[in-house]
Amino acid sequence: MAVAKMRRISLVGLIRDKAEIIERLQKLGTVHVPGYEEKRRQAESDAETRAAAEGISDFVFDGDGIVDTDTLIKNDPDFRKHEEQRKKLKTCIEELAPFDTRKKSLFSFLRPVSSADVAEVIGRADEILAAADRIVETDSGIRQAEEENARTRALLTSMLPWKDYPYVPSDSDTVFTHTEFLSADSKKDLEKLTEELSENAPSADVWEVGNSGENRFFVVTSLKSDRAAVDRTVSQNRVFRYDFSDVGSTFDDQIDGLLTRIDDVEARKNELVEFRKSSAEHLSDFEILYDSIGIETEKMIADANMDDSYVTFNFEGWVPAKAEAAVSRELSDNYICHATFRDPEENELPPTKLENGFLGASVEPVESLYSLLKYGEVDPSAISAFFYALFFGFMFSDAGYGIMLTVACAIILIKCKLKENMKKYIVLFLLSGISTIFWGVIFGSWFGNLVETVTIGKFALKPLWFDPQDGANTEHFLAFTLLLGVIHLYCAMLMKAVNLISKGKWIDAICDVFFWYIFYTGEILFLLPYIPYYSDTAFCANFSKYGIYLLGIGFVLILFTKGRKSKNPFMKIFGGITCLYSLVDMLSDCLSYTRLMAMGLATSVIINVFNSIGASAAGFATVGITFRLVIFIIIFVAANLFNFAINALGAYVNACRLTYIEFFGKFYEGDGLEYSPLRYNTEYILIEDGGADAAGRKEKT
Amino acid sequence: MLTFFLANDVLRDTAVEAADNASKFFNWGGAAIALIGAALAVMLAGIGSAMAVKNVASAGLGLLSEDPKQFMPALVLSLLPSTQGIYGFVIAFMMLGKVTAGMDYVDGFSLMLAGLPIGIVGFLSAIFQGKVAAAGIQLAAKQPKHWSRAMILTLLVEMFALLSFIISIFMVNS
Repeated sequence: MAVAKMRRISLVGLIRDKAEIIERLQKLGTVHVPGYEEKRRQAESDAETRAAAEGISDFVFDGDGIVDTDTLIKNDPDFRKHEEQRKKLKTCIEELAPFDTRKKSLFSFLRPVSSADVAEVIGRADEILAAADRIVETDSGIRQAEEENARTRALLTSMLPWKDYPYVPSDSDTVFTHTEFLSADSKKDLEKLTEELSENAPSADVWEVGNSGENRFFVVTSLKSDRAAVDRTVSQNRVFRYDFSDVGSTFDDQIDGLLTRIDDVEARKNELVEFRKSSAEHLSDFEILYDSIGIETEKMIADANMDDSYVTFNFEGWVPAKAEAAVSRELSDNYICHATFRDPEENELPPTKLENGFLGASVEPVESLYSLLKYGEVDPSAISAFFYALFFGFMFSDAGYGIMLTVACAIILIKCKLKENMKKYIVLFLLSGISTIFWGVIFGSWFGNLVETVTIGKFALKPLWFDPQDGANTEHFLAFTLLLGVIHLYCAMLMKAVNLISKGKWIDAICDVFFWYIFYTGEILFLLPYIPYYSDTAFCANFSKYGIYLLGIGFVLILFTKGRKSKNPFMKIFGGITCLYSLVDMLSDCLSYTRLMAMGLATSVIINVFNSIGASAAGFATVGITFRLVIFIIIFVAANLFNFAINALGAYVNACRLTYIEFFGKFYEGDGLEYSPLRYNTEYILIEDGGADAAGRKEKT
Repeated sequence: MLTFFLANDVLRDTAVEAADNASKFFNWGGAAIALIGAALAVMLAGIGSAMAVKNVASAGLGLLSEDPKQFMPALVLSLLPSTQGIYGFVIAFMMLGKVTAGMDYVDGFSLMLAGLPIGIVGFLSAIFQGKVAAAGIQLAAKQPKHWSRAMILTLLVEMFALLSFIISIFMVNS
C-alpha cells in the first residue's frame, strides 16, 4: 500500500558513451526519462508558481524554451523507417494469427525468448522483412483475386439469361434487319410492348430468349425501315436496352470463358491462401523482430530527450529510491560520468509508481481506469480492493456462483501465463469470488434454493444470518446495505484525513474531516428512526435525541471553519453555510448503496425462478427419473450460465461505480504522471536473460 | 301454463348462473387486478430495456464494423440498459408469489400498484439510459481507452430505476 518514493537523477556523461549508457539504463529498466509533454507540464507548473508569487493574475504559458522532441523524433528518417517496419510486421502478425500452429492459451502472454535467439533473428532482419513484404503482397493478391471474381460473377449473371441465343450478338444485324436486345421487369410489360410493336412496326418480331425470376429477356428483330418506329415504341415502354456490340462470340462461348476465368482466379487465390497459411511458421520471427525494433525505437526516443553539448550529454529524470543504488553503481563502475540523486522538491511532479501487495495490486487496473494517483497522495489500493471485493460479493451473493468464479480464477492463475494487467484483474475476481461465497453462505443461497428444489422441500440449506428473499427481512436487508454504505463513506473521509496528515496539514484534517464526522454522525443518528428496520429498535429513539445535538455542534464548527481560507471576511465567518447542502449529498450517497440490495436480490431471485422452471418442466416429463434429471440439468446449466454472466457484469460495473463516485470522489486527486521507465517495452516476447544489449549492438549499422 | 313453468325454469337457471359468475368474479377479481400489475411491471420495464438495448447494440455494431477489437465496450454498454427488464421480471415474480385465489379487491389493487414504480420508471429510465450508452459507444469509438467513464456515466441513469425497484420490493412485501 504505497506509492514508490522517487529520487531525482541528474546525469552528465560523455557523448561517446551516450548510446551505451542508454542501453545499460534500458536493461536496468528503472530510469524514467521525461518526454516533451512532461517537461512542458513541469515548466508550466513552475511558471504558474512564479507568476502567482509575483502577483500576475492573467498569466498564459506559451511553452517557451522547451524543445518539442516529440515532433523532432517523429521526423527523424531512421525512426520513421523503424515505425514503418513495425507497422508492416504488425499487419503480418495479425493476418497470420488465425493460422498460428503454436500452442495457444486463452489469454495472451509474453513468450519467453533467450537473448541469443533475439540476436539471431536480428541478424536475419532483412530476410524476415522480405518475408513480411511477400505476405503483404500475398494479401493484396488475395484481395485482388476476390475483387476480380466478384466482377466476373456479376458479368456472368448478366450473361446467363441470354444463354439460348445461338448467334454472335455483335454480328446480329443483316443487310435488311436490325436486332435489339431488351429486358422487361415483368411478363405484363413484355406483352404490352409486343402489342404496341405489332401496331407501330408490323415487321417487328419478338423472341423471348430467357428469364430470370420475373424478368424477361428478349430480342426484337425488325426490318431496318421499321427501326425508327421500334426505337420510339421501345423508349415509350418500361424496358431496358442492352448494348452487345462488343460481344464477339456466342453467349454460350462467353459463359464458358467466364467460368474458366473464375476457376483460374480461384485457383490462383487458393495458392496464395495456402502460401499465407504456410507462412505462419514465420510468426515467431515476426514477433521477435517487431519487439526488438520497438526496443530500438524506445532508445531513440530516450536519446532525443537528453540534451547534448559538444562532448557531453545530460538529462534529469526519476528513479525509484529502491533502484538508486543499482543505477548509481552501474553508471560509476563502467563510465566516466557524474550522477547525482536528490529528493523531489515541493513543486516538482514525479511520476507515480504503485507498489502494492497482491491485495492492493489487484485493484490497480480498476483504479487506473479512473485516474492515476498523484505522487504524494496516499495509495488507497488495499482498502479499495477490500471494499471492491466485499461489494462485488454482496451483489453476486450466491455461494455456488462464488465457488465457480473462485475456481475458474484459480485455474487461470495457475495454468496460464498472463500479462501483468490481466493477472491483477483475475486476482481481483478471485478475491471477489471468495467474498461471494462468504455472502452466499451468510444469506443461504447455494445456486439459489437448488437443494430445496431437488429434494422437493425435504432438505434446505439454512442461511447463517437471514434470508433476504423472505418478505419479513426486506427492511433488515435494506438497512444493512445502508450501514455498509456509511462505513464505506466514513473510510473515504478517513483516507482524506490521512492524506492531509501525511502532508502535515493537521488543522485541515481536523476542520475538513473531523468536524464533518461530527456533523454527519449527528445527521445519521437523527435520521435513524426514519430508516426501516432500525426504526423498530427501541434504542434508536434515544440516539436520535443526541443526534440533534451532534448535528448542531458539527454545524457550528463547520460554519466558522469552512471559509477559513477565503479572503473575503464575510465568507471567512459564514462560508460554511453551504454545508447544509451536504446533508442532502450524504443522504443520496447512502441511498446509492441500496444498489447492493437490488443487485443482490436480483441474482438470487432469478436463480430461484430458473430452478422452479426447471423443476416444473422436469415434472411434466413423466418418462422416468433419468429423463427428468436430464431435462432439469439442461435447463439449470443454460439458465445459470446466462444469469452468471449478466449478474457478474452487473456486480463488476456497480462495484466500480461505488468505488469511483462514492469512494474516490471524497478524496482521490488523481491526474498523476505515469511512471514509464526506459525498458524493454515488448508486446509479444519476454527477453529472458536481458542480454539484448548485445543484440542491439549488432543491429547498429 | 306449461310454458310459464318452462320459462320460470330457464329464468331460475340463468339467475343461478349469474350468481355463480358473480361469485367467481368477486373471488378472483382481486387476483386478476394483481396479475395486471405483475404483467405491467414485467412488460413496461421489458419493453423499455428492449428498445434501449436495440439502440445501443446497433450503435455498437457500427463501432465493431470500424474496429472489431472493441467488442468488450460494445457488449458491456449494450447490456447496461437491460437491467431494468430484469428488475421488472424480479418484481413480477415476487408479485406472482403473493397472488392468492380469494384475495380481496383492496389487496389486489395495492399489489398491482407495487408493479407500477419499476414498470414506469424502468420503462423510461431504460430508454434514457440507452441514449447515454449509445453516446458512450461514440466515445469508445473515438477514445477507446476511456470507455469505462462512459460506463460509469451510464450507470448514473440507472440509479433511478434502482430506487423504484426497491420501492416496488417494499410495496410487494408490505
